[in-house]
Amino acid sequence: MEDVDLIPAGEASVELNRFLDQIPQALSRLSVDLTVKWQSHTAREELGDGRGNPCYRAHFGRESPCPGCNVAEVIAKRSTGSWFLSEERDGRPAHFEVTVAPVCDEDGKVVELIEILRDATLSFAVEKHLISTSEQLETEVETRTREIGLLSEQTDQLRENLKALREDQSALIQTEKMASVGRLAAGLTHEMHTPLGALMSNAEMLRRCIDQLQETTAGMPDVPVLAKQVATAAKLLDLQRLAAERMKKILGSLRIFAHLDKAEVEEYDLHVGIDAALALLSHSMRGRVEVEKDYGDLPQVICRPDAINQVFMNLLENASTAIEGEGRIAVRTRLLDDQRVELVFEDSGKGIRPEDLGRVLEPGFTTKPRGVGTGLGLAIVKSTIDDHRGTIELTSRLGEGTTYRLNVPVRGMS
Amino acid sequence: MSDGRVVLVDDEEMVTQNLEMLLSMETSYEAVTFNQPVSALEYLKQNEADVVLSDFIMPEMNGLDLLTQVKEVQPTCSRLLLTGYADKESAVRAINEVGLFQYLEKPWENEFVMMTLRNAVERSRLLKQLQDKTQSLDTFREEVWKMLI
Repeated sequence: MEDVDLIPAGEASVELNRFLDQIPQALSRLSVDLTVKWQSHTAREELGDGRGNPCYRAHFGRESPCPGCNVAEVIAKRSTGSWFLSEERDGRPAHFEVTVAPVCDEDGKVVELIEILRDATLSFAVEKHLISTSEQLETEVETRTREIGLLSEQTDQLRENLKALREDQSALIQTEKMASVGRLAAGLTHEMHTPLGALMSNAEMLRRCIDQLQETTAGMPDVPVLAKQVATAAKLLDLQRLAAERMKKILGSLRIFAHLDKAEVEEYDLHVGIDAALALLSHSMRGRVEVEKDYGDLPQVICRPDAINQVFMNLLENASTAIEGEGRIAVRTRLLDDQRVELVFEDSGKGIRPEDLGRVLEPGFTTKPRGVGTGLGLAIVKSTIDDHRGTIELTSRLGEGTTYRLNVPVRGMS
Repeated sequence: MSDGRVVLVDDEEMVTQNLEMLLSMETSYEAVTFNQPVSALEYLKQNEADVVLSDFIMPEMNGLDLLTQVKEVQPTCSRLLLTGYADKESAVRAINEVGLFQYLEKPWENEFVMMTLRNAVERSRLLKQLQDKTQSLDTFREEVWKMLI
């Protein structure tokens, strides 16, 4: 049967066979009852000579049509159909793509079938590999995503730690600052009290000398020049005395401010602290900032007076610097109930930008130029008020001013 | 003859000179001034004084040490501390330990200094009188005792 066609040798048939042989695929011509009538070279090489046998036996060694065979439909619809067939070959899974095309006569009746077999094992393997690779990739992506999530959690944690660290640092700086301010104030008051004492005492004695001189010269005729000089000296001395009194007051405020005489935690009149801070800031506010005080009837508050004074100082200093040119600072205090006091510091300054409002209490945040602001002022206020179990609330309008509202428990430190 | 002798000790001349002037203007007390506490102590070992007014913080010897030693050499002398020390609480504690008559704060008020000095001199005088009276009483008692025997 070698090289013998089972198809009647017509001109057209021979031409078709020659054409089909050129295609490098396993092609077979089948009768409608699936008998193999002709095979291309490739088909014969790959599948062996199966002519005269049904295709399932010739190509797959089966005794019945292959599972999934679609020939009936191809014939019925007169259209090409293809399907996959899997089986074991040489102990390995093999995959084939079977394509069957109908050949019709002039009446449209299917007279023959052309079968193309394609070994799809390789592409299956590739596809399988692709699937598993893509699965692996998906797993990898998931793992990475989880890792990134973990990483961002860690970043958040780190950020939190950093914030806590900054707060601790500002508290430390605050403590150290208070201590050095205290030392400075103690040294300063001690050093200043001696010359100031001499100055004040001298001025008073001199004034008395001049009084006596005036009494003596009053009875003498022809001394108008001397009398005038003595009167000028008296006036100058009065001025000197006023200046010395002012110095004494400043030192007194410094002493109250640094809380040099007192214990660390005690009952304290907050108004004394606010007034001391205002007195120490008066140089930068005089003639420029009008201070309105509306003090309520407050009980003594248990607190750390030195730290609380620093709070007043920082808030008032901020308020004063926020006012460019002339303006107004209002300080209002009131007892909310037996347990809490409210202190309000309101300025008519330039205000805080809305985007900065949430950050001004953070340590290290400043809008002042480098070297001018440490960014610790309000952070110190915040941490001190936290220490006293109080709260601080900030409202601000750009160009209109800022209000700091402190709410401090009367016995927060006890 | 003055109404009393006041010894002034401060390492700052501006203080001792000022107080010396104040006393000469306003009182009839004799003022003796020292800028070194050690010299003051030497003086007081040889000479009687009614009042010693001393600065607190001085080089060599602080005012409390000086006044503690003054008590040993002159028990009836009133001792005053003049302090510019900012920590009032610990100053007061230290003062109580040594048993001072009074302490004065820097910057001082002339009026208050003078009033305190007058009281201090009066106290010393009274103590001295009491001491003299006790002594003469003792002498008298001894004589009576001798007469009885």
